[in-house]
Order: sequence, then C-alpha cells, then structure tokens
Amino acid sequence: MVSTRTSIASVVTLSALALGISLFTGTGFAASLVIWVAINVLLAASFRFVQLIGELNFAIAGFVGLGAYVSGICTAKLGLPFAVALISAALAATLLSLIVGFITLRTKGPYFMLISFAFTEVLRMIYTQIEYIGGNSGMIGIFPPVLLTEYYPTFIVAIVLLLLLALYQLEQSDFGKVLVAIRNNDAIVQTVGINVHLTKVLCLAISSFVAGIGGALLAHANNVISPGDFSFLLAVYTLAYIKVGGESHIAGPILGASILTLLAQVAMGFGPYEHIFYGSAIVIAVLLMPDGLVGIIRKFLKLAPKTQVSSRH
Amino acid sequence: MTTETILKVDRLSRRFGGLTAVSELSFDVQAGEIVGLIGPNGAGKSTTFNCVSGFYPLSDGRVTFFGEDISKMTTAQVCHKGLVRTFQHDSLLSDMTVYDNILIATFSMIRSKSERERRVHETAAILNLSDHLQEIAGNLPHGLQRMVSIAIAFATRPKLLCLDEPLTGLNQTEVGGALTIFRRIRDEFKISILLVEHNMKAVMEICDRIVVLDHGVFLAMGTPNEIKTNPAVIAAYLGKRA
Repeated sequence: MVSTRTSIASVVTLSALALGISLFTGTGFAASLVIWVAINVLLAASFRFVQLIGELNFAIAGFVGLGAYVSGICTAKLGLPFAVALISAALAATLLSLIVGFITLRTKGPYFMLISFAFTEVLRMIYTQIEYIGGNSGMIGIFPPVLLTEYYPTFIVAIVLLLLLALYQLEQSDFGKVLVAIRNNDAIVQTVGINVHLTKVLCLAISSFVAGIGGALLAHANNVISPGDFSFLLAVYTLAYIKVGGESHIAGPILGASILTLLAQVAMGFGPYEHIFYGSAIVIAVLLMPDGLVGIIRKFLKLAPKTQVSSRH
Repeated sequence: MTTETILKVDRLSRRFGGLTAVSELSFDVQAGEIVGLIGPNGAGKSTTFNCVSGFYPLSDGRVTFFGEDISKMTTAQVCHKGLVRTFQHDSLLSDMTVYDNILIATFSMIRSKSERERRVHETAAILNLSDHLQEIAGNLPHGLQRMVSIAIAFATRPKLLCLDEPLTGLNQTEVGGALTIFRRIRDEFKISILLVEHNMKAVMEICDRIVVLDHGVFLAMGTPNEIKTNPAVIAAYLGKRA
C-alpha cells in the first residue's frame, strides 16, 4: 500500500509541476496542448464520476456544449465578465442535468446510455437551428479576459486541479461510497433508506457542473465553437481516455486523457481516419488492459514491496 | 402482558397478470415477537416480503406499520419508518468491504460521521464480523456473507427486521450462532423479527408464532406446537394420504 503521506506528496508535486509547465508555455502550440490536455482530463473525470453509479453518460457532450454556448453568449454576445460566464455555464449545465436526470435516470445501463446519446445529438441539432448563436457555422470571438490571455493555460490547469480535488474528495466521502454501492446493488441501497433515484440525479448534476465549466474553458480557449464540436464523438473520446487510463481510480482519466490527447496530435495526420485512432485505443485497452494504465501501475506497486523484501535477504 | 401490534397485513393480494401470487393474506406481528412465515416453494413468501417492504405495489389490501398505512410508500420511506428487509439472493454489496457494506446502511439514518463509525463497529461486533471489516464482502465464505446481509439491515436499527431465508446454506453450528444473534437482536435492541425460512427445525425453535402460506393463500397461524400438529399444514408439506 502506498501511504497517505506519499500520495499527498506526489499529488502536490504533480500539481506544482503541471502549474509550473503551464506558466512557461506562452500562447503558442505548447499552450494549446496544455489546455487540451487539462480540459480533456477534466471531462474524463466528469464522465467517470457518473460511472461511479454504473452509468455511461454520453450526455456529457451535451452539457459541455451547453457550458460552451452559455459562456460564449455571456462574454461574446452580452459582454458580461468572464467570471459570470464561467458560473452561468456551470449553473446552466447543472440545472438542465437535474431536469434531464430526473426524467431519464429511472432507466439504467444501455437504456440510459442511449437516451444520453440522443440528448447530446438533440442539443447539437438545436444549436444548428439558432441564428443568434451562429447556427451551423457556430459562434466566433469568444476570448478570455485580456489580463488572463497570457496565463490562460495556467488558469485552466489551476481550475482543473481544483475540480479534480473536489471530485476526488467527494468520491472518498461516505456519499461517494453510496454512489459506488448503487452501482454494486441498488436494491440494497434502497432498503437502507436512501433515495437511489435522487442520489443518481445529484451525481449527474455534480458531473454536469464540472462538464459545464469544462465547456466554458474550452470555448474561451478555442475562441470559436460550432455545434459539431459537441457531438457524441466528444463523449466517445472521453470514454477512450477512461478506458485507456483505467476506471478504478481518478488517476485513470488523468493518465488516459493526457496520453491520448498528446498521441492524438500524431493521429491528426491520418485525416479522415483519425477516429480509428480512438476506436482502436478503446478496443486495445479493453482487450489487453481491463483496468487500464492504473491497473498496470497497481500491479507494479503491489509487487514492489515484495521485491524490496526479497532483496534484503 | 400487554402487546402492541406493530405490523398488520390486511387482506394483501398481489397478482402478476393472470397469476395470483398472494391472495387475501392477513397476519400481524406484535412488538418483541419473532414471527416465522413459512410455506412450500412458490407459496408467496418472498412476494409478501416484497409487498410489505415497498418493493412491489399491492394489487389489493393494506399494510399498516404502527398504525400507519405504508402500502403506498417506497422501500426507502418504509425503512425510515423502521421496517427493513434482507434479500434471499444478492443480499450484499459484493464489491465493497464489510465496513462499507454496513456504513452504507447508516448513511441516511445518522448525520454524524463519528456516530456512523461507532454504529458500524457496534453492528459488526454483534454479528461477529469485527475481524472481517476490511475484507471484500464478496470474497467471504457463505456463512459470513449471510451475516453481512443481516448486518446491513440491522445497522439501520429498525423496529421490525424482515429476514428472507437468512439460514440457507449454513451448517448446523452456523445456524445455532445465527439464532443466538437473532435472539440477542430482539432482546437487547427490542427489534421484532419476521422470518422467511425453510429450515423447519430452526423456525420451530426460534419463532413465537408461525404463519403458514400455501399457493399464496393463508393456511394457518399459531405457536410452533400448534403448527406442528395442524393437519392442514402437514397436508401441505407432506401431501394428503391417498
């Protein structure tokens, strides 16, 4: 077992490293890479949070899109401060997820997955029909505040770290255990007085709050958004990050999203065959490493103490 | 001796399409009692449990708990009223530790985290699970898994504990241990118990009264001695002489 102190030390070191790197990236391609990695990590962590109750939430793409469009409207159309845009995006995604979750989370498994998939696609089609937000061609001119421009990667990394920490704390809490218990056997959770349906809705709302912020950060990083950015493919990519990284620990989405986002830069060169990259990543991960990279690391860490003991003799 | 009726099942019926699983069943449980609900396979015992605990809606009839109608309540609401059940199959959170299994049961009942922890340890001690708290429940031997499923329900400190075949698959020593625990739960915590069980020896030994069901219909109710000698019960279990 890795001691708590070692875990905290490594988390602090890695966070400081991430923040440090982001400070020196400037505004070029390196900066974009840092931003993409950070946002994808955030989305993967949000997607995984709903997996705690055993559901694959393809609606994440819808909520990211909603966050992006709401924040874009706030800053580019209404001229509101960036902070207001960020909060509005998170609240809009949370509110809609409460309604959608309340209606749809009575289903589970493949049924919920299909409904969440449909939700994402419906939202995307709605964006294409609204002239105010640019219809099919999307919205332009979504910029972060001038003061932040140079440090935008650092700002994003900081927000992502904060949200990851919050999600991790929630997962470790008794509430987090209830979520895992629902995935394990929801009938038992009901018998001990817990309203399973509302707990599931709350889980989706927390995840969507994070997804909304992710969308707002993404919109202000790319400066341009269009409906196509928020199709179900976004959810598939996110699923790929988690499958490669591993589901059993929050480090999984962090690892998976970081590695795949960086490798995807190579895959961009494949042109229309780019999607094969993500598809094969999922297939390879499922076949060869059922608990992703986290599982491999776990195995290594479990073996390590034994090796130490034997080397003393 | 003054007795108080805590559970009253009044002409409960449950139909699945054309099949009547339970028909016009009435019985009651008094405070401090251990009541057995027995009957051959398919008699409707588990269906009755599911109806009483809010898992299935009733087709007809009424269930009252401490005088309050609980027929339309959800399982979670029924639990907060003080009625908790266990399951015959899949009766625990198999991927989680024994500690977390019991902890989940305290989540909606107790606010304070330290109080929850205290409840987990107290519950585990009574069910002889203290040495297994950090083990994954699904990896435990069958006998201990049965105890975990009872611990989950008992950790909510209900007023009525409904146990669905808690002794299935236990050896004789384990059955003896379980019966001691049931008595202790009843005597120390003033929790009444409604027991569905096939182990007749155990049922006769522990129950104050027994309700017999056959093909979803009430057959008899009485003390173990009355039930043992009831001709209708003997016929249902052993068949009629030709």
